[in-house]
Order: sequence, then structure tokens, then C-alpha cells
Amino acid sequence: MSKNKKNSAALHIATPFIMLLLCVGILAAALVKPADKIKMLLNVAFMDSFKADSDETGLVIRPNEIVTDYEGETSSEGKVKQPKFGEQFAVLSTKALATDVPVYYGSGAELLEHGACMSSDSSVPGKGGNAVVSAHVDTFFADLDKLKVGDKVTISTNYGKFTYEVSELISFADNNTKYVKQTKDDRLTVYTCTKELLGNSNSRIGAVCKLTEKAFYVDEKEGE
Amino acid sequence: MKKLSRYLPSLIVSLLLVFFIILTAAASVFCINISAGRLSQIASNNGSADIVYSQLEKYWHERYSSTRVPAEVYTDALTKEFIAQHIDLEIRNGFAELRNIDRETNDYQNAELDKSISDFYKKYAEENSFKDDEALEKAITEAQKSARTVIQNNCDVFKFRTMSQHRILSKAAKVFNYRFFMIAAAAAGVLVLMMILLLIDHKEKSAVLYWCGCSALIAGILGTLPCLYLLFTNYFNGFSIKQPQVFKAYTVTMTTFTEAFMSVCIATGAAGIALLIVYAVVTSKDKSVAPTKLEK
Repeated sequence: MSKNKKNSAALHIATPFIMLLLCVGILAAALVKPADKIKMLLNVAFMDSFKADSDETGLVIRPNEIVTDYEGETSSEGKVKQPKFGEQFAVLSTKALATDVPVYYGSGAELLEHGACMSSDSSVPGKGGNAVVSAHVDTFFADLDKLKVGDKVTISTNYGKFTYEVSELISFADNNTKYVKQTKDDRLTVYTCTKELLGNSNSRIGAVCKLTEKAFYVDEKEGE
Repeated sequence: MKKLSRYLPSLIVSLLLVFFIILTAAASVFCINISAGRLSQIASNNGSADIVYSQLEKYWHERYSSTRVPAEVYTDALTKEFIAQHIDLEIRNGFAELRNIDRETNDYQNAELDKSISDFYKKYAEENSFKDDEALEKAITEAQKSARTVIQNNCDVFKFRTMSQHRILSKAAKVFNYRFFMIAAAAAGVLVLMMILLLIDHKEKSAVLYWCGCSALIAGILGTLPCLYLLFTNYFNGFSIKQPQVFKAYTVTMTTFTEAFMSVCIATGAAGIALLIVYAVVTSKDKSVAPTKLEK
């Protein structure tokens, strides 16, 4: 009988530990799939752990309020407001990405911690040519690989709204400049690094999007 | 509890009970703390109006060299009470949008501020021999409108307007409007699982105390440990928005909610330990009064 009592006591004591291990295992298994998305959202919200300090480099990073719900008069022709380096001048939105992405003019590690970047040697929306936007794969462009041909991508600026349609999904090496060169047609090229387990990625994925609609704001002050 | 036919089903149901207890605790904390009143209280207790006032002062000081308008033109006409009222109004309007009800009008009209700007512009025009004409009136109107926009951007300490523009509020509204249903569903789940445990262990009803105690204890541990990590590592200080009033509002709110959830989890864990103690006492009493066999 005493052996039975000992076994029963051991089971009573071991059961909470077994339950704790099983619960942790279930939580870990359940979080495997959304882990990347949760990590992306946490990186976006708590990016300051990267300790980017704009005072050290002299770069002035200027976040701006960008109007995305302009309801006034628009025109297919208009004037482009050239943004300054380090200035947020647009918001990119598409169904594939969970949230709207702020777009900064310029490039560099510091700016990429604040949002997507439109390189200063690329065109800007509305000016004609190839507008090139890139962002980190573990922050704003985590779901870029979910873009499909035919998806709509919108760039909202304070001088107009530009709608593009994905025409081609692309994949290229980081030293290949084919997709970031200037073009004669109006397009938007978005790209990010491919996800790697360790170290930096040498390849890029993204999409080329053709311009389908230009809507310059007729009263520019409405967009400010 | 000795038979495997009762042990394994009880274990499985108890595991489910752990998650339902955590859900109920999280849903309760969420419902109690996510309200316009609570956020207004947090903003008020942490001096948000003072921070906004000093940020506005700094903003207009920095722009003096390009605008030639001294900061005092604006700040002497603004009061902290005006700022505090509009911080509360922005919070109420954010929640109005979450609830899909009409927002209160918030146009930041301030007669004293408008007069201060108008007087300064007219005095400047007079001193510099500018005509008091339509162009001057337009410049005054633009300056007043711009001042209101700057104050509005700074008073929105929880950035509800920005969230609304980026479609985040409309997505959050879908969860927010079902929050009481979430609590009810989670609590109902807890009760149903306890009933199931009672059915499984109908021959040894005291075992239900043991299983519920284990579930409550594990739920308490699983909820408390992440909260301790977040609080002890000052995780929320890594928040990326650097406007002081927004940073303060969000970090204090997140810390408050984390502390509230942790308190509920600690209480749940303590309840679990209490149930286990009661089970130990009950089973030891049962064993001490076990009937002795009568020999013929």
C-alpha cells in the first residue's frame, strides 16, 4: 500500500510540471507560424532598441502627416513636390501588407529603421520613370512576398495619389541593377531582401508595378 | 485520480482550462482598461498637457527664424486647460470611431489665440508699411489655421487620428466591439471545462479541486512570467515614436496594462495554490476516516 501511496504522491507532484511543459510546447507550436509577423510588428513598434541616433550623422529625419483620404478635385496632370532627403513624403499601401508603410526620401540604415526608402537616384511618383522603394524584410516589407500579379499598390503623397498594378514578380542578386535603373515608362519597383536564417542575404525579391492612375491634387494646400 | 482512463482526459481538459483562464484574464483586463476614461486618466496623471505645452513652445521657438513670429504670440494665448480639454476630446473621438458612433466636433477654435495672431500680423504690417488688405487677411487666416493644425497634431497623444488614417482603427473596431462577448465566451468556456472535469471525476469529486488548482496555477505562471520580463527589461522604453507626449502616453499605458494583467495572473496562481491546499486537506481527511474492515 505504501508503494501505491508513494506513486500517487509522485504523480500528484509531477502533474503540474507535466502540464507546464505541455502548455509551453503548445504555445511554441501555435506561435511558429505567426512568429515572423509578430516579430515584424514588434520591430516596427519598438525599433528604438536598434539605437539609431540621427544626431550622430547629421541626418534630419522628418516624419510628416500624409493625407491618404483626400476628397477634393484631382487632375491627371500636376506638379510634383520634390521631397528633401530624410523627409517622409509618401505612404505606400497594398492589401498584401498588414499596415500602411511610411516612405522616406533617401536611403541608408538609419532611414530604413523608420520606414521604406525611395532612393534619391530613383524617380518620384508623378515625375515619370522608375520610382524605386525598398524596405527591410523583417520590418515593413515582411509580407512583400505575398504580392501577386494584378494586386493594386497605392502611393499617397501630399501632392497626389498614384495607383499601380503589379505586372511582374522579380528576383535578383543584390549587385544586379536591372530593376533599379531608370526607365521610360512610369513604374514603381518595390523590393526587399530574401529571408535568410543566418547572415545577410545576397538576393532580393519584389515586384514591378505599372502606373494605372495618376491623381494630382488640384489644391496643393489640401494635401499639406 | 489513479486510473489512466480518468487521468488522461482530466489532463487534456485541464490543459484547455489553462488557456481559457488566461483568455478570461486577458479579456477582463482589456475591457476594464481600454476605455476613454481610463486613457484620459493616464494622460492627466502623467502631465500630458504640460508636455504638449512645452513641445508647442519649442516648436514655435524653432520656427521663429523662418516665420519671424515669436513663440509668445501663440503660447501666451494658450492655456494648459485648453490643451488638456483637447487631449481628452481626441481620446473620446478615437473611441467614438472604435464604436462607430459620431465624433464630437473638435476644431480647436480659440478666440484668444486667433486674436493674438491677428494683432501680431496687423502690428507687423503697420510697422513695415504693408497694406491691411485681402492678402494680409488671407495670411492671418492661414496662420490661425496652421496654429490649430499644429496644436491638434500635438494634442493627439495616442495618435488616434494617425491610426484612423492608416486604417488601423477600423481593423481594431472589429475586435473592440466584441470585447464583452469575448469575456463571456472565455468565462463560459472555463465553466464548461470545469463541468467536464466534474463528469470525468464523478467518482472522486475532490480531484476536480486538484485539476482546477493545477490549471489556475499554470495559467498564473504562464501569464506572470512574460509580464515580469517586459517590466524588468523596460521593454516599452524601446517604443519608436519619439514625440515626448506620445512616448509617455503609450509607455505608461502599456506598463499599466501589463501590471494589471500580471496582478490578475498572480491572483489566479494564488487561487490555484489555495485549491491545491484544500484538495490536500480534503484527501488527507478522507484517508484518516477510512473505514476499517470487520472480520467475521
